[in-house]
Amino acid sequence: MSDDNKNFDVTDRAIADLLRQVGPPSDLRRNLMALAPQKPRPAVPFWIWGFACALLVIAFVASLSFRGPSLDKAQSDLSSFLASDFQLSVTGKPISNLQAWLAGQNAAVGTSVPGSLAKIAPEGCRVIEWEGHRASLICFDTGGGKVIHLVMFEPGTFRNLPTSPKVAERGPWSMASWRGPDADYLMFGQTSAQDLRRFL
Amino acid sequence: MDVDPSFERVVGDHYQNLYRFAPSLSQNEADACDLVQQTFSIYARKGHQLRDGSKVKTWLFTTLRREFFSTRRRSERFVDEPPDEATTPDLSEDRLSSLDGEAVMSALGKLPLEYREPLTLFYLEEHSYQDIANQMDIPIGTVMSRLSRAKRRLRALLENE
Repeated sequence: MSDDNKNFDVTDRAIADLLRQVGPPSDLRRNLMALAPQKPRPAVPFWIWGFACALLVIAFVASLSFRGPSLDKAQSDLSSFLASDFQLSVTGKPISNLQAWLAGQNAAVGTSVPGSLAKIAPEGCRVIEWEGHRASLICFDTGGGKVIHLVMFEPGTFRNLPTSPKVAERGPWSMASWRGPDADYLMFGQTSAQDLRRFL
Repeated sequence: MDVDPSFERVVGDHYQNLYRFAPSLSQNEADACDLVQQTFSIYARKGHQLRDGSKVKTWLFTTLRREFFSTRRRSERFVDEPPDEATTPDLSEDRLSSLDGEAVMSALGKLPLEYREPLTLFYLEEHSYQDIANQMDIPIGTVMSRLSRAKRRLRALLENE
């Protein structure tokens, strides 16, 4: 209140009080608040942007790693290995014995070997280290010098494997791949695709 | 998004006195409301430029007055009357007790604009002579003489209503 108000006499004071009785319409305040500017959003600190970017990079790298190894590369590498003069670790045993031995070697091993192949006496087995994966290899001599190789990886090692065998020919090899209930299976044979299907 | 709390505070502090002042210019309740809303609309856009919070009240009243004169041709002629040395009569206690706010507003409305405006600001109490002079852009001596005459006319109107 200013010093000028000491110029108020009794009548002024009474008139001012009467004037102050005059109230605005009830909806005026609400109408005025509708004009209110919106409270600005607080600026996002720089470090939060940095943190968000780092998370995106991590998520991207993680998504790359979750894509899993390439089936195509596995088939290419393994067919080269199988064409080489490799050694079997265990020979001349029933398939159940080979599976038990492989499991004891901490290698991925499946028990859902295709029925027609399971009827053939296996030649032997070994462990294969590929791209950090410890896989199992069981070889079956189908006669006439023809050998079928079955390689088993941990289930889910390869992305988008079909649950039914998919057969393809690559050079002298025919290859089948599928996801079983307990392993990712790759089958190799230096034969035609049609012949390979006999063992699935 | 939330409403800016500083805007809500300014509205709460000043809208009632602005509304009481606006009819001294517009002489019409609807126009008075429009003037107050127009004033706060400008404050919503430009209020953040006011660095000194103590100047908000003066800024609002000055802006309301400027808006009034920018949208209305001044049909009333401003004439400074010669100083009137007559004393300002007091209203009797009985007469004062029989009045209400509407009667005062009605009597104020019958005064010429150059009296209505400073008198309303004066009765809104927190306005000093200097505030009124600044807002009306007239010398402080003119404010005092207009107030003197305005009070005398208002009291005469109230006495005879």
